[in-house]
Amino acid sequence: MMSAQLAASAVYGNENASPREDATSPLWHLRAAQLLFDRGQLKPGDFGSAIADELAWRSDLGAVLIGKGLVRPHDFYRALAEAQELPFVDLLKEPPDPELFFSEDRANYAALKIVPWRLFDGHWILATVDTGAPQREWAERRFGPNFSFVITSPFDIFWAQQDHFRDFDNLRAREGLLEWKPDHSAKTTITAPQKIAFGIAGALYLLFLIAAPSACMVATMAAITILYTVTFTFKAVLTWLGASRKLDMNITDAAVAELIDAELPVYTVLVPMYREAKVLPLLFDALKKLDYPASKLEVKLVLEEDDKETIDAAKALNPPGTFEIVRVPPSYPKTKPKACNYALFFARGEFVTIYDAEDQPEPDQLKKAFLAFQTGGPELACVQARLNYFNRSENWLTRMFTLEYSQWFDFLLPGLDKLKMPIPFGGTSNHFRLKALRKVRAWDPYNVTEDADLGIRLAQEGFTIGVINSTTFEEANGVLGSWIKQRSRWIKGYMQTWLVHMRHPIDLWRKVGWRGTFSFHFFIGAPPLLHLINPIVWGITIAFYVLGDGQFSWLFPEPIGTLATFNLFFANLLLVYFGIVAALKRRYLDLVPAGLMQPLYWVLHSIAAWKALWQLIANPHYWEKTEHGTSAVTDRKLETIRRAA
Amino acid sequence: MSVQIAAASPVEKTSARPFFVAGGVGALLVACLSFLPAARGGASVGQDGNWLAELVARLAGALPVSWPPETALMVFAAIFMSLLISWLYERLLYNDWTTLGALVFVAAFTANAAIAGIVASGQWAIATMVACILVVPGIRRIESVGDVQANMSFGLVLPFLFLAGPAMAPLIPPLALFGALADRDARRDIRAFIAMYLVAIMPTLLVLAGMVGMFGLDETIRIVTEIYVPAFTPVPAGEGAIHALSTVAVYTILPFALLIGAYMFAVDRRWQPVSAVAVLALPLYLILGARFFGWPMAPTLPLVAFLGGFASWLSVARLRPNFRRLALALMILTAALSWTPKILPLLAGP
Repeated sequence: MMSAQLAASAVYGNENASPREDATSPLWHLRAAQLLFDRGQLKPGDFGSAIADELAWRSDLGAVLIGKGLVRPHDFYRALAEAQELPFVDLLKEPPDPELFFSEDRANYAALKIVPWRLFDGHWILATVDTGAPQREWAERRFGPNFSFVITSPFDIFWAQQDHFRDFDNLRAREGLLEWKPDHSAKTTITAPQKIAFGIAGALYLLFLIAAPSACMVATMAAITILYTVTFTFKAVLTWLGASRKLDMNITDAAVAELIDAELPVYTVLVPMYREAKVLPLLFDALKKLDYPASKLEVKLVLEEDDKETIDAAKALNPPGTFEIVRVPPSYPKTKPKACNYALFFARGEFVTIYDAEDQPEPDQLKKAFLAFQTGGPELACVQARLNYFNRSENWLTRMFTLEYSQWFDFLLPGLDKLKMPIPFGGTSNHFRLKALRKVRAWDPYNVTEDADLGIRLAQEGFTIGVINSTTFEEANGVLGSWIKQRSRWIKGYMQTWLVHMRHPIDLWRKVGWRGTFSFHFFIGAPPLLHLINPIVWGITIAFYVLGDGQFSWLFPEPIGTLATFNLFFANLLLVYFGIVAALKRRYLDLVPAGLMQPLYWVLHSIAAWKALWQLIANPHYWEKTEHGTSAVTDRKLETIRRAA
Repeated sequence: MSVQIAAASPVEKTSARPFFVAGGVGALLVACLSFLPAARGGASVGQDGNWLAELVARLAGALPVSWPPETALMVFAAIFMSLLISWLYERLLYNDWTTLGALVFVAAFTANAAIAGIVASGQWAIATMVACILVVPGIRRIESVGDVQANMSFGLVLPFLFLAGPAMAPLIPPLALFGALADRDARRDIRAFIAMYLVAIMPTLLVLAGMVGMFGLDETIRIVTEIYVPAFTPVPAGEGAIHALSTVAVYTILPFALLIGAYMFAVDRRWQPVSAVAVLALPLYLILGARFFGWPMAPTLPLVAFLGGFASWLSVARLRPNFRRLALALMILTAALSWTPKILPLLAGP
């Protein structure tokens, strides 16, 4: 009944409902703010500062007021409706007519923040937050002249879309990539042709082993030895290249300072979480510290529908109006990439990034990423920020993990970037051009290292990838069981990624070139394989020395024996050295002596690799959740935030 | 995709052609691999500390040719010199030398009797030269850039002093000390000092650990105690040998003190004194070693060490035009002097 009255009022009740009225948004926003000010809902100082920021940021006044947390979104949009003399509708109480939604308009609903609300005597009534030109032009194209507007809040629009497109979006989040390019999806771990190829190769190997066991074993050891040597050499080159200071200075503080806020675009931040209520205050604190206009920041807390605990905790923290909770419907696979794909349907930013719940990005990260995109050309689809840990000295595992991450993000990835090779992304702090991300259908929900896979897919679609000199600090996993779980997922994901892109190896080579193919094999394919065969090689080495030369020396005829000796004594020791050197860039000098114990850390990798292989066979899409908030350093940080609050 | 911001990155020059880098890495790898078969067999590799000669001989042995070791060394020396000269020419151009100046310089460098001598006779003084060529830019990079790449490069070149033989090996600890003290934090904090010293010395320790792994502990101890330690037992050198060394040094190395001395007083933003001093200090160290420990050393060795160090210094130091002209003149002068009847017989040896 209420909605019929509102609808009638929207159509006949006032002149401002006319779709062709040329009303400028800033004026309406100013009037709405004035109304709030008159009612005492907006303080004079806040009003003034918001107007200054509106001009400096070139944003809607409403977005500034809400972004800075000066007014509640509902209050502002009610005032806006009043200023425009349009009805305000609460879509939770007066939901839109579901019959009026069209799935082909899904993207426009999200981008324009508009939904059809009622159809009244052939007249469309559209609920929106803005009656500006884009909304009017779209409505005219879609419905002809017979439409009018009612005002609602962005949250209501968001809720209405989530409610109506829940299953539709969920299906697309899961199967979008599979429908677009089935061969790029890890839904099927090994395809039938791959099974045949592996079967033939296995049979031939077996025949070789039966027919000429010695020769076969020698050939096997030769292949393994060469693989070790090439992988070591590649890693050494990348480490050396990445050690240059030049690569750390690609975006200067001066360049960031010169940025004009008015020219910054809307930036979407996705924060996928699952059962991480504990660390939410840490996340909120970090996001508030980001040096980016609040009105242009769109934060999506991506939570599973069944994760009531985190949803309630997020609400209890009373987030600013620019934060939205995206509830991901339960479905298989229950993975982070699927959740992110789902949230992406609601993203409006020109750029989008992902942070984990406990992430502490450096405040200038978004601006550095924007600068990178500005100068990187339209083909630059993603830039990866560096990751490191804030609890490095907590125990032996966190020390090793920090050394490893330092080498990976401070040396190896910049080295790959320098050589113009595709970069497998880290799990967070990768910044995307939203258009490019959507073009490749975002993340593969069936791949458990969707980030590494996405880097390869973007390269195959002709996009480029870069790294930026900004760091996000995370919590290092210092609990052995949890570390094994996390690492086995990563290794399983690398195995998946290698298998997916080896479905058409020649096609891969054509698209990414020899450099890309080389780095794909020796950066993504070889490491899991080496982790698997390491224990075997260690066993042979021990037997070699315990039993004496004569027992196994036939396995290593020259020059393979020489190469194997080189790998054993020099390559391994140099790998330890490179791991130690990794501590220098960040002046983590306390980690230098600890670095000598890296070989023990390699043993853990092998344990995780065998677990990963088992899971790849038994449960390929299972997402081993990393537990966050286990560190005492995290607890101390949370306590500090609590006290400050 | 390299993300470069104009404000952040001045116009860059290409510092080295990939060919030279790839060639260098490949040559190093082959060289390292070539000596391992003998090492694994427990043979007497490096019995007299001549690791490089052993490497080259092993490499030649692996080739489908039957060259005597001397020929193999000569071929190796010729190839090495060709690469060095090409690299030097490239680097001189990079450091603002004119094409003509760079050409004349490398011509004078090549024409030096000592250089011709080590190529023609396959003298393996080339190992010392390699060590000097690597160490001087390593020091310079620590001084001028001081980034992690500089620390790594410096640490990784120090084992070459060990491989250059007993005479050069003792330089490793003090140079590692310099590498550590070059770091500002290490000068103030003992923990930082230990860490930086470890980073500098560790590659050498890794090489020693590798030796233990390959040869066994006993053999490694034997190599160190029988080859490296005795080199520092004071033995008075013969008068003739010292006279020959001194004469060659005074005529062919000492004039360059003029350039280095002038450089020490010409302080500008590119002024890096330690590497400049090292160019002269390295040959001087060899001469003093020969004087006090009786090292059996051909007069060519200090000169070759100097020429290697000086060439590599010029390859990394951007000098003022006057200094470049002086360096060119001195190189021509030294080349000419090396062929005079007073010096040539000393370089040629008995």
